[in-house]
Amino acid sequence: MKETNVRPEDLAWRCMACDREMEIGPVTVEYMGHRFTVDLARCPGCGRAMVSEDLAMGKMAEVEQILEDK
Amino acid sequence: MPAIRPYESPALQFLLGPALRPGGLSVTQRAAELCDFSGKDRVVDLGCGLGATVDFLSRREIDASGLDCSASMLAKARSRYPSARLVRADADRLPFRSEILDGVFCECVFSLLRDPVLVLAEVHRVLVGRGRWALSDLYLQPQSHPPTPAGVSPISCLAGARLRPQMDLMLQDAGFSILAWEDHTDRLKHLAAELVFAGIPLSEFFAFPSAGLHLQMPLQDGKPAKPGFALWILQKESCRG
Repeated sequence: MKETNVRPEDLAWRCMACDREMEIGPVTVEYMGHRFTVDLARCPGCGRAMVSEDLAMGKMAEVEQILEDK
Repeated sequence: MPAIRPYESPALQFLLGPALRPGGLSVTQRAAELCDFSGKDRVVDLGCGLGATVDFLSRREIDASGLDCSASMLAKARSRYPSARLVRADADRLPFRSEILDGVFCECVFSLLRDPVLVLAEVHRVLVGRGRWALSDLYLQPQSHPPTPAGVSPISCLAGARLRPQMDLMLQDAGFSILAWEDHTDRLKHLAAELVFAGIPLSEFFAFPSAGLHLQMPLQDGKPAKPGFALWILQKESCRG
């Protein structure tokens, strides 16, 4: 289940601020009072996560609709 | 369409842990508070599954036992909680004397029962007078917009879900008064969102034919409804009906 939200190409990116390669790690996502821990590509230095367009337009949009009761 | 019931799915058991329902043990804790069980009370969890509620109650020194019809679920529960008192039986033929239990838990089980009326009679029989019943389950909320055309599998948790007034009437007709009712639909939404993030189709949990994002289904009269999740705290009245 670990790689579900991360594509191989997401790990090809580097964090500009830290100049470090992205790695898969748990990221806490908050929306409308709900907190989810999701494995995403993130910088091991500053912890900033990368959300791909696919994830934003796919699962995250789906979750948003569920929580907003649309 | 999975051939197994939703709670038997290994992926769901991995995601949800031993409490296989929306909200996990948080709704169980709320129910225990509302029922106000004390250390000497005898309480049985009908459809105990992996045994999380029996363990939860036992840790609070309540005299708790679990009952389930599934041998495989009980085997897992025994391996997880070796000291838990667990028995294999059907909810419509409870292996207890009449008026022996102070309380009953029934979490996300009622909507799956083959013969809920028989189970209502059995729970009424085994509870002492004014005994408490914590019942949490999916229920249906009427909607105004058009339904998503879909049938619901008979093994779905949604197949036996009812509108709240229907559920209330059924419980009252069986000799229970409703001490409290709380909506916990937010926990159902949270679970649905967790399933999406984990890449588990909602159809696997709800045994819903499409990956129905809106979790919407038509009622028998064709009007649309959406599932909600609620907790009933019931009390056995001295006589039925």
